Formats: sequence, structure tokens, C-alpha cells
Amino acid sequence: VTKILPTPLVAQVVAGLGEADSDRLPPAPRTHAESALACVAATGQVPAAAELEEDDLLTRTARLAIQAHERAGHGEPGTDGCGCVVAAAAIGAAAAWGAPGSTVIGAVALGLELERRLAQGLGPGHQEVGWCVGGTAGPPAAALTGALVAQAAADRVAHAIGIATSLTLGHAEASATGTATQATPGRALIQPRRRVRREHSATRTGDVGVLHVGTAAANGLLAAALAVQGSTASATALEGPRGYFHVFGADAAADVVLDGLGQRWSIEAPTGERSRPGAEEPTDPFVAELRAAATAGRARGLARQLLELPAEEIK
Amino acid sequence: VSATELSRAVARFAATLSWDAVPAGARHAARRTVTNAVGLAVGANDHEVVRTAAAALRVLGVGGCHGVLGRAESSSATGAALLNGVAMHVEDFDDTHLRTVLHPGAPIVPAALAAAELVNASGVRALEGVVAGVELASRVGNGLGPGHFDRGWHVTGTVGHVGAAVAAGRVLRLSEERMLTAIAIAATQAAGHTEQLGSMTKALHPGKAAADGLRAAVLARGNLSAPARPLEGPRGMGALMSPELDAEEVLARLGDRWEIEDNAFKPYSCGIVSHPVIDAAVALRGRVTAADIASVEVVVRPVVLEVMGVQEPRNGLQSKFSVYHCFAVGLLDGAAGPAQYSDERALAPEVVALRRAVTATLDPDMPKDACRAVVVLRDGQRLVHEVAHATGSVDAPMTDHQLRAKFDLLVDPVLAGSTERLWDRVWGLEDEESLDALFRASRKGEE
Repeated sequence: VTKILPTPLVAQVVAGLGEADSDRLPPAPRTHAESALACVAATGQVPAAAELEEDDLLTRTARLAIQAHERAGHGEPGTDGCGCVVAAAAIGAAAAWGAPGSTVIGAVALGLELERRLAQGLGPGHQEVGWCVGGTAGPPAAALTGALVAQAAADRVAHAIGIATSLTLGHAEASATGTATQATPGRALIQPRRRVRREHSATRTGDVGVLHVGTAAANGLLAAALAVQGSTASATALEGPRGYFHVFGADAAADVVLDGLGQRWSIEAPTGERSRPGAEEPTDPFVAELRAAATAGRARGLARQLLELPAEEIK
Repeated sequence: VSATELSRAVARFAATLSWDAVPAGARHAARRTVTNAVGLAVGANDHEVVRTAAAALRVLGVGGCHGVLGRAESSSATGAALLNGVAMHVEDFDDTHLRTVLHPGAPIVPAALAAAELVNASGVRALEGVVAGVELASRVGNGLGPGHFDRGWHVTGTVGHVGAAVAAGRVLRLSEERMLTAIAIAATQAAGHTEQLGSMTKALHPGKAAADGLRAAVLARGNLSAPARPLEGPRGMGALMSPELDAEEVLARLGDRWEIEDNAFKPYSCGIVSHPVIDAAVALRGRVTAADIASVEVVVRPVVLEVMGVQEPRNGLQSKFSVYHCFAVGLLDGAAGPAQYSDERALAPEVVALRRAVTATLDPDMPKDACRAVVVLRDGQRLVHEVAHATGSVDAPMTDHQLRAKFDLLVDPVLAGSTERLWDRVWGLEDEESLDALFRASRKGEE
């Protein structure tokens, strides 16, 4: 049975998570955010999309997330194990709008927190039946992050989350490799210029499943841009009787999402290969520069550099 | 075909469908589907929702030389597909496959048009894509059953993804194997829930489906290894998004009976479930005036209040989801087009007064395309009007003449004197060697 909330859940989430400012966050969520950013920063080149000749921020953000996920190679297939969905969306958003480094890192921390809480709300059965949680929890979380990087007003951030509840994806069936027997795996399409070094021998994910994290990141970024421009979603997009939680069969999830929000952080210690609990200074050069970026313009430049975009405005 | 080969059977049909082999009735339905959709896109080209989406895409650096119907600017192939899909759906005036409540035009036509533009394909190839996409999307919707919608999924967003991929894939001449890949890439992105009804995100659903479907078809041209059973696999679309996928329903008389012929066109720009009520109001218009009405009872199927139950709409968008508003404008204006769902009309005193006199009674046995309206006048007189088959339903389809009138209503305000030129291009798409002339004719002041 759907619970009717006095204040829409998206609004409670935005208010409860608080300000996107890494300087005011506890060490664990901040370090986790920096770890996720380091993961996407380490992917190197973002090859051009040959097939569609589309080279916009959505495409580049998707590729960044896919390569980070491929490189990190941990977590269950199709999940956002390294935080790359949220972190890639933050880079895309920083390239579009720019924000001080502390805001970008803070926005990633809040996005990762929402992603975890949505995943917990969707429950363990969600993945067991075959949803890739990076594709279902990822887009609303990435949308939150993107809108926070855009420094949008709270109601716009709430709409970004709401819009992204309609941009979900991720059937585990897509991760099956199927019957195709091509000698050249499809990853060549995603990385036409250079095969990214794989440091872990993760479970082989099918080529279609590989697209999940990238699409999730791009969809979150798109939702953020739509909300910033004035697009709206249903106020009850998350908890409404025909909304996000309902279509995934998780009607009771609102309580889980709100429990201790802003006080208790899901991430007690950072995870992932680059985790260094308690580290004072990031060793990743990109993260170190981002942390030091006091102006929106500087962070924007860093993001655009990472995405291999020219420093000037996109025309 | 066994149920474990559903996706492959769908891909095979999609990859081999030929316009020459499509019977005249289905061809005619395709022509009507494209024409209706193009008219809607041109009419809504400057709608707030479209402008907002266009601005968002620009911020993200999305751009290119692909046609956005009615708009001076162009976009990338997927950007154009997205904007066209939003525009075709935003007025809630589009087509409906009545059995599934899929609105196939908005997700599928833009994907076919953009794919044809991408490879400079002919009008026939675009139409071929539309037939394949609408036919198979409708059938996948049949297979997912009413339980898919009942769970909250917006069929136009979910199944629309598959239809768009098939349409684009057919235009791009994908092989059976690659078509299967395209379907897999699209199916895993099937999305959109009906909590969004009444928000700007609802129209985004088919736009996103069109863009994702197009991208899926293009990506499938690469050497991606495809899952073999994206629709029927144990962790695929059917298992995850419906109570039970019925493969036989998808494939029943495939190539013999054409679902696209059941694609109905809306005479009113709101949710189709309230169309019988508007028909009743329009019919009662000659017999009563609003001032004489004490109360109105409309007897409708329960689904009408599930999706059209807004009692006090505060703006035009919300008024589209109010069966009470629908009755009021039907009786007062004798119409229910975009003008009846403006912000002004939603708050007009005479509309508000009449809609507050309307109550709805639910009858689970009332057929989908029917309703009964009981009007009690101030003098105690009681009038009853029954609608057996709403205009635009399978049993009372809009004629080509009515469709042309609707096209003119939508396009004239944008193109003024050159509506006819666009009509000729789109109604005669079969004879076009490329889509250049169609896109040019859709824009104001272009030759």
C-alpha cells in the first residue's frame, strides 16, 4: 500500500541531504566521493562516438562512466560499483555549468548517498529478480548530482530527481552475452581507439549490459539539464501510487530512504580499489586539482579537459 | 515459433518486412499514422515543453543537422528524434493502439524519420520502418498484457523503445541478428511511469524512446554481442515489467492480421479514456445550455478516474487529466482541442462552474469506448445520452477527411498558407526520394 506523505519525497530528500559542500561533510562520504571521481578521472581518453558522430556532453559522459566501470571492474555486473554513474554525471554537469570544486565533490557525495538509499529502498529482491541497480537507482542519483553542480534551486533539484525516475533502465538479461560469436567484442565500439587496461577480472558482462552505466549517467545529466531549464516532474514521482517505487514493486521504500537522512551516512568507509580510508589528501591528481578549484570556471576547465573538450564554450 | 524464441521471431519479422508485401489497409494506416504525427509535431513545435527540452539539449552541446519538424533549428539525430517525439505527444492529441493504450506515433515515427535522414533513405523506407515499429510495438504491448500498465508503466515510454528501435533498424536495413541486438539495447532502456501524467515529463517518455531506439539501431550496426532473449528471457523485459509475458499474443497471426490497422486517431487532445464523455457532452450541447444544468452524472469505466480524476485542475496541463473539465468544455465549446486545454480555459469561471456540477459513477462493465451521461436540469427534467462507440474508436474511426481537418487545425497556425504543401509531402511520403522536402515544408517560410 502506498504511503501518502505530507511533503513529497523528492522535496524531503533534497532538504534532508543538505548542502553540496565537501568542506562540510564528514570524512567518509567525502572520501567516497573523491574515490568515485578518481575512478572516472583515471579512465583517460574519451573516444569520439564514431557511429552517430554525436559528440555532445551526454555521449561523452556515458563513455566516461562506461570506461570507469570497465576499468574498475568490481561490483556485480551492471551495478554502479565504483560510483561511476554519479561521478561521471558530475563531470558532465561541471563541464556544462561549472561549480567550485567543493560543490562538485559535495554533489557527488550526496548523489552517492541517494543512490545507496534508493538501492536499499528497492530492496535485495530488486537485483535478485534481474534489475541492474546502477540503471534504476543511478539516474535519479545522477540527476540530483547534476542539478546540484548546476547550483539549481531546491525545487529544480527535486524536479531533476523526479524526471530521472522516468529514465531508468537495466535488465540483467541484457548482460547475457547470448549467442553472438563475433571475433571482435563490442567493447571495440565503446573504446575504438584504445582498449582500457582491466585491473580486475570481473564477471564478463555482455556488450549490451556494458551500456547500462553509461546510459544511466547520461540520463541523470539529461534530467538535470531539463529541470534547470524549467521542466517538471510529478511531485510524487518517487512514492506515488503509479510512481518509481511502485513500478519496481517497492511501495514501502520511502521510510528506508528517509531514515536518518542527513545524519547517518550509508557509506561508513569508502569502497573500491582506490579507497584509502581516512586519507587527508587525495593522491589522484585530478581530485587534488578539483579540490583546490575555488572557482566555477576552474572546475569547469578541469571537467572539460577530462572530457577532452576544448576549453571554450560548446557552440 | 516456440515461446523461447520470441525475440528472434520479432527480429526476423522486423528485418524482412517489405512495403510491397504490406497489404493496402496496413499501408493506409501507416500513412495516417505518419501524417497525424507530423501534423502534431509541427503544431506543437514551439510548445513550452519542446522549447525547454531544446534548451536542455543545447546546454549539453547536442547539435547537428537533423530536422526538427516545424522548428528552424536542427539537432543531432537523437536530439531531433527526442524533440519530435516530445512535440508529437505533448498535446495528448496523438494516436492510440486501443488495446494496449500505446500511443505509437510519437516514439516510432521520429525514429524512422531520423534514421531515414541519417542514411538519406526514401519515403517508402521510412514508411516501412513505421509499419514494422508500430506493428511489433503493439504486439509486444499485447504480450505484456494489461498488467504492465496496471503496474504503473507508461506503455508509450516502455514499448515505445522497442518500436522505435525496430523502426530505425528496418530503415537502416539491419540483419535479423543485428535487429535482435537493437531490440535488446532498446528493451533494457524501456522506461516511464504514469505517475508523471500531468507533468512535463510525460511527453518526454516517447521522445526519449524515439532517441534511445534510434541510438540502439545505430549501435547495433557495430559488432555488439547480443543477448538472445531480451523480451522473453528470465531477467528480460517481460519478466521484469509485466506479471506474465504471453508470447503467443505477440506472434498471433503475425503478417496476416495487422495491429497497425487498429491504431486510432484522437479527435480530442486529452487522455483517450475520457473521449466518450466528450462525445456525450458535444452531443448534449444542442439540447441544453450550461445555465440550465443542475447536475451531471457520467457513468464510466473505473480506469477513467484512475487517469482522469483531477477534480480541480489548476492549469491547462492538469485539465487534460480531468474528466470533469473534459465534459465542461465539450458542452460549452463543442470541442476539445489544444485551445480547450489552455491555462485560461482551465480556470475560466463558466468552465469551473460546470465541471463542479459533474460527478462520475464507476461501472466496471462499461465498455472502453462507451459511457452514459445523465443531466438533471434546474426544472427537474432529466436527459440521458449514451455513447456506444466514441469517435476515433475502432468501431467509429476518424475518416481521412476528419484527419485532414485535424491536420489543418494543427498546422495552419504555424504554416499559414503552406499547410497544403506539407500535407502533400507527408500524405504522399511513398513517392518521396528523400525526406529533405518534407522537413523543409514543415518550416515556416522555407521553399
